[in-house]
Formats: sequence, C-alpha cells, structure tokens
Amino acid sequence: MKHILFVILFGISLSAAGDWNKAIHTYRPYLVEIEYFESIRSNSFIRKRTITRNLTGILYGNEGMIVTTSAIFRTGTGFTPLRVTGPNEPPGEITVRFADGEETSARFVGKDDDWGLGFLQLDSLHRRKGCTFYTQSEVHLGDQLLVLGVLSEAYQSLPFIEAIRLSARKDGLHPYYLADGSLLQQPLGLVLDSRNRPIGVAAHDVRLFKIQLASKLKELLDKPPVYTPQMSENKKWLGITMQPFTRAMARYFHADSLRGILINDVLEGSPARQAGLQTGDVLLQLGDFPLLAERYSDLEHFRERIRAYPEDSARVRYWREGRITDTHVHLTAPPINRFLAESYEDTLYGFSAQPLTRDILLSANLDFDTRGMWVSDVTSAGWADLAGLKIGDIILSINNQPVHNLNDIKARLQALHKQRPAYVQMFILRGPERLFVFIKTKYDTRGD
Amino acid sequence: MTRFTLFCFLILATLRAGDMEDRVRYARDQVFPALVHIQPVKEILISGEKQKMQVTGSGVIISPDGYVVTNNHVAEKARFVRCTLSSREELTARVIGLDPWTDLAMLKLDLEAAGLRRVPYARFGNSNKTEVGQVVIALGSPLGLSRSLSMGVISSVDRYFEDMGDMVSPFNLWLQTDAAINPGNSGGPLVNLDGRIIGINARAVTFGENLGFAIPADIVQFVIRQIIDHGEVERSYVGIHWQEIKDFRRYRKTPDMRGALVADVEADSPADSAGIRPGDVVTAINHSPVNAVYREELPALRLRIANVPVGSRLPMHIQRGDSVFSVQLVTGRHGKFQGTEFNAKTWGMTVEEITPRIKRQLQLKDARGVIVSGVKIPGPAFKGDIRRGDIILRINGAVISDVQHFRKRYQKALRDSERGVLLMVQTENSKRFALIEGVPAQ
Repeated sequence: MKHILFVILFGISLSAAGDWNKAIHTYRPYLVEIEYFESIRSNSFIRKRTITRNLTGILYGNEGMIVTTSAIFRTGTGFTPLRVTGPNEPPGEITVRFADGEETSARFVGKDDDWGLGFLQLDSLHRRKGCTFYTQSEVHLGDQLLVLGVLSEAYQSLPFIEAIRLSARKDGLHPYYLADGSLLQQPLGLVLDSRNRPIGVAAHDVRLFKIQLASKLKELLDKPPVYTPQMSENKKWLGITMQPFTRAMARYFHADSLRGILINDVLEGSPARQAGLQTGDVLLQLGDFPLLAERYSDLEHFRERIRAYPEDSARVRYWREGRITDTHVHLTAPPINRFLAESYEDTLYGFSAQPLTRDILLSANLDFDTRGMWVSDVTSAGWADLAGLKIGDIILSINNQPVHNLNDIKARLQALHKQRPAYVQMFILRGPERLFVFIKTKYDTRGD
Repeated sequence: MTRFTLFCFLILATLRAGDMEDRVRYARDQVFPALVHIQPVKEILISGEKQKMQVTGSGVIISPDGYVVTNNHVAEKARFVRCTLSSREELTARVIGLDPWTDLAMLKLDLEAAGLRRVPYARFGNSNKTEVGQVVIALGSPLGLSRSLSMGVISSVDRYFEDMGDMVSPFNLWLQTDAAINPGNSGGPLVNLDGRIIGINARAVTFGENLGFAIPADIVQFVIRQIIDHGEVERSYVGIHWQEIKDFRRYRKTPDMRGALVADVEADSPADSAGIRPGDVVTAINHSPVNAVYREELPALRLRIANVPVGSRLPMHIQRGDSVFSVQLVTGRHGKFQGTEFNAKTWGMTVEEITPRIKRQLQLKDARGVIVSGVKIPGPAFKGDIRRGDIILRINGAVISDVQHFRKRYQKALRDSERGVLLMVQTENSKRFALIEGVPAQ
C-alpha cells in the first residue's frame, strides 16, 4: 500500500514538474520586460531630469496590448488636494523586450488607479500576438494557482514560477485575492489555473501577491483607459471631503441607529455644492447602495462607487438635523490636477509655469478666485533661479502686467524677448507673502 | 644687523602678546563679577498638560540694584528664576519684562532676601563703533559650564537674518563672532577689550563652527529702558512688508533713486487704509528721508516706525510710477508674538491664541479659532483624533473667536459632560469633525 502511495505521489510530482515546464514554455513569450524614462521634478542641487525605470508586463490580445502596473505613470490622474509628487508627463521612450531578446518600442495608452493597472501598445510595425485570457474559470479561497514571472536582468531575465494559494479575498467594485508570495522580484506576473490556463494578473507587493482575475478585468482589458494630456480621467467626482460617521457621533446626535458618511467640507463649484449638500450632512445612501463607514478605510468603498458611478446623475439620501432627504447630484469629471495641466516653459528665463489648478489652490489654502501662474520648475543657475524665483511661487504680474493664464504669460514673455530689457520685475506670492523678484537678463551674452 | 632686527621683532611681539593678555584680563575683570548663571524653572504647557522644567542660560547684571539682562528664550514662561553670581552667591530673581521680537528679557535680583545692598555690574559700550576684526570675549555658561570665557573677533557687524518660524529679528541686525558660543551662553555678554558690553549672545549655528551671534548693545539698551519704564516694549504697526530697492532701481533705470520698496500691504492695516500699495516707494517718513538700498538697512527702517508712539499720525511720502504724493496714516499696535495659552485639562489638550504672526505663518484667512498647542496621550482629545497644530473652529456648532471664547465654551461643555462635544477642526487646508466623547452618568 505504501508503495502504491509513493508511486502516486511520484507521479503527481512528475506531472507537476511537467506542468510547470509546459507553463513556462507556453507563456514565457507573453511576458515582457519594459524599460522607460520617467521625467522627474526636483528641487535638489543636482537636477537630473529623467531616470530609467523597469517594469514587467503581459502581452495580450491581437492588438499588441501590454498590461502592466499603474506605477508606469505614478502621477494620479484623479483630483486630490494633497501635496503629491510625481512626473508631470507620462513615460517616454518605452522599450519592450521579449523572451527571444528582440526589443521593440511601445507607447503609453493609459492607466486605471482603481485597478492599479497600466496599458501600453506596441508600435504597429512590431505587433505580435499576445495571450488570450480565460475568463470562465472560477476560483475560491484555498485554491492553488501558479504565478509565472520574469526575474531581473541580474538573473538573466529567467522565467520564474511559483505555486500560490489564495488566502484572502476583497470584494467590491475592484475585487482581488491575496496570496503569500515573497520571491518574485518583478512587479507583475501571469496567473495560471490548475489546468495551466491564463486567468489573471498577479501584482507583487511586499510579501504578497494581489491576484486580479481576467473575468473581472474583462472590460478594462478590452477597452483600456486612454490618457489625454490636460484631461482628467474618465471618472466621476462629487467634490466633498468626508469622514466616518461613527457610532459615538450617532449617539451625540441622539440618532443611535444612524449610519453613514459625514461631510466635513464641500468644495466650491463641485457637484455636491450644486446639489445643496452641506458640511455636517450625513450621507446615508448612494442610489440603492447603503453607505456605512466606521473607519477611514471604509470610505474607500464610497469613493470607488462615486468614481465608477455608471450614470451622470445619482440619487443621494442624506440626514441633516434630524431630517432625511433625497436629492439628485449631477456627477461631473474631476478637475485636472497640477500634473495634468498644460505648462509653459521659457528656456531663456529658465522656468516653467502652469495655471492654478484647484489642487494647488487647496493645498496652498488660497481663495478660488486667486489669479496667477504657478511656477512648476526653475532651471538651476538660470536667470530666474539667480533672481530667487522658486518652485511653488505664484506669479501675479510681470512688469506690472497681470498674469492670469497661459496666454498672458506667453504674451508677456514673448514681448520681453523682443524688448530685451536688462531687468524684469515679477510680482509673486510666496507662502503668505507677496514680494518682488527682479530678474537680471543676459540677452547680450546669450550663448556664452 | 639681521639678527638684531629679528631680536627686536621678537621682543616687540612678546610685548604685544603680553599687552593683549593684559587687555583680555582687564576686560574680564570689568564684566566677570557681573556675570550670572541663570536657571529658570519654567512652567510650560507641553504634550497637552502643564509641566515644569529647568533650563540653563546666562545673563549679566547692568545696575548696582540688580537688574539683569538675558534672552527672552531663557526667561520666558519662568515660574521661578534661580541665579548664581560669579561670586557663587545664589539669589532668586523675578522677570520684569520680556521682548520676544528682539529675544531680550529683563530680570531683577532679589537683593534684600540675600542680604545684599548692591551687586557688581557691567557697563554698556557703543555697539555702533564695533568693527570687523575687533577682539571680543564671550562670557556665560556654555552647556551649563558656568563662568566660562571664550575669545574671538567680530566677524560681521551687520548680519541680516530673514525670519524663520519663531526665530525672528525684524528690528535688529546681528554682531557675528567666532568666539565660541554654545547653548547655555544665551543671554551672556559679548564684551570688547575695554570691558564694555557690546552685545548679548543669543544664537549659534549648530552645524557650523565658530558662528555665534549677539544682539547689538544699542538695541539692548533701548529695549531694557522700555521694559524698566513701561514693563514692555510698545511698538507701532503700519502693515507694510518692506523690500530693498537695489534691484528695483536697476529695473526702473533710476540708479539714484532713494527710498524703500513696499512689497506687501496687509489687508485692513493702517497702510492699507491709507491706500499704500505694493510697488510704491516710500521716500520719507515723518518728513525725514528713508533709504533702504540693501536689505541690511531694513531693520532700521522697521525700528523707526516701531518706535513711533502707537496711534501717532505718520506722514509718508510716496513715489508711485512717475507720480509723487503724500499720505498720512495712523499707526496701530504691533501684534503679540505669542498668544495666550489655555489648558483644557479635562479634554487632555492645550490651546493657544492665533496671533497675527501665527495667522500669517499658517496662511489663515482670519484669526478666528484657537490652535492646539499640545495633546495628552492618551486622553479624550487624542481619542477624538485631535492633534497638535489643529485649529479648532467650532465647538458644538458655535464659532470660536478666541481663547477666551474657547474657555467659556469648554467650561459650558464640561457642565454637560454626558453628551460629548463635537468640534470642527482644521488641519492644514482640510476641515473635519472631532468628537470628544461624553462621560455616561453613573
């Protein structure tokens, strides 16, 4: 009997080894290494403008599409009043390397931060056929799956395969499974089911795999988001800041059974403001979806719901001073953030400026009617830098001419290039103070 | 001949070295008996509760009846001040007045309690006559090592510092010296070789070497006279932020222009009411010419306005573009440096008044509310997610105007402790609600 068991186990292990080899042989060609340049913005003394980064991705479908992580363009395309950093332009000069060593160029298509995935497309001359995801497979907690990835160049980009077991599941609009996995170095792998069929992608985080199934990603894979410069993402925005309405708060308001989300600020000009929502209102329901939040992390469900709301108008039920009311909110696209705004660069004066987006106004605690241009870059040792202009300054006027928008600043600087003055006066807002900056030009010594 | 010359040179050098040592000893003897090792016991609100702590600093006696000059940052919030003279006699002192804008403070030794009638004191010299390269000595208690002397030269007589957080010096330039100055030297005298106080040591650069800074004696003498006469330094305010005209006159191609550039005008200030605008050049104040070509000239200009009695009519001559005109403004009172604090003990937090300085620093639209200066961990405020630096805007829906109003609302809320208290707080640019939970009735 023991012999029979041994033979069966040996057979299983041989079969597993065979499956793993077959998986590598079949799917390694679809795993690609991605190299790209990321523009960085730095106040540091050494001003390195671009850095090289590497990711991995999966070639899928017949159109030369590659799915990778959204880290390929780290800048959020949504609206956030937080002081965030990131490149102000999408990745450039993308090179994709295949298993056979061939390299080809690709372009950035777009990304979805909610799913955490980004998309590239191979240049049309070099299209290859990608893998086809199997979307009918059903998985459950405890199932064993395979993750196929690529090791880094230090290990000659060897294929790497690891058996994982699904240990946790997150439901909601962007569901995923978690599995223990600590060995794969590269951020994205292909998930195979027990019959070696590609069923999803595995994003590697610290000691964990985040498994997203192709069956849930189908719409995204078929129709990836398209990044358009100076355009916000194709998501919805309500325009409030909020916090959990805790049980203790419900007791304070003598409404013990009330559960919801407490509005703590309504942004000027936002859909919420137009719908009449106010600070202190407790949101109870979005459409038919009840809103519950005991912890800050619970608010994420609501954000997801709003961002992915299928219609332009949403029914919102809220509580205000003991009364429950329904209202309709006309959801709009979020305002663009500073990273998506068009920028004007003057190489002669050595600075770039862009319009005051809402996130800049909010983070600097400025009124919404503040007019000026935000200095987004200053060239080290350039004319503007030597005069003391700094990143984050807001230019209010140039030579006493107000500067309200891109056209204004272009017109002012182009006029200066014709006039070639020895000094230029900029009136700026820096933190709480307004002050003058006098730029000494060197038109006569240009090119020295 | 050559040997004889060398011999003479060595003799002279030795004599000169001896001369220098004698002069240092002389200067030391003039000031050393007046040196004070100061150990204030401070009562401060920290981490949301009242705590006592002892610090160490230096000071110098400037009158036979026991007035002592030191730094504001040594003496502020002192509940009790213990002083040790260079004779090692221990006395107590009380704080007579503080001036955070110049970082100066005045103490008075309790001679009677110590059975003394008079004490040795040091005299001021003229800081205006101080020169770069001049030999100076610094006395004090570096790192608590009392009765220490270090020697160096004056490295700069007009060092200018922009304000940084609580480190402000709008009304004075600084004497820079390479005489060793360490924490604990604060408040001690910087002395010339005539044995006269030419500055009060106040700052040092911790990551640099031999970079110490002293408040010039002429500023010190003005401030202590004000404190002795009025208990405080009253200053006028007009609400103008000044800028030097060095580059402005190049931009305007008027190299001989004289005056000071108005960089910013605070809303609702006397200057704002008088119609002064950014870009104006003030050429005269009170019919007397003004000139600030370099930024080192700005503190004197600010001081000139500050020293006018509050409520004075102050004529200013203005040049705006090509037109010249005069305005008259009425000076206001210069705002407080530090606001009143209040310990909301039951809630486990302390709050502070929002002074104009804090309002500007935090870029607040108005000065309503109070700022949280500390939160006790654990405590009700901490549990309610209130943190240091938050601004409390409302209590149970009522707008909080200032610390007094906060205190009233706090005390009212304590009377109804069962319900809890809902605060609206602002952190940086975002607002939120914070609940201090009620205590259920027993």
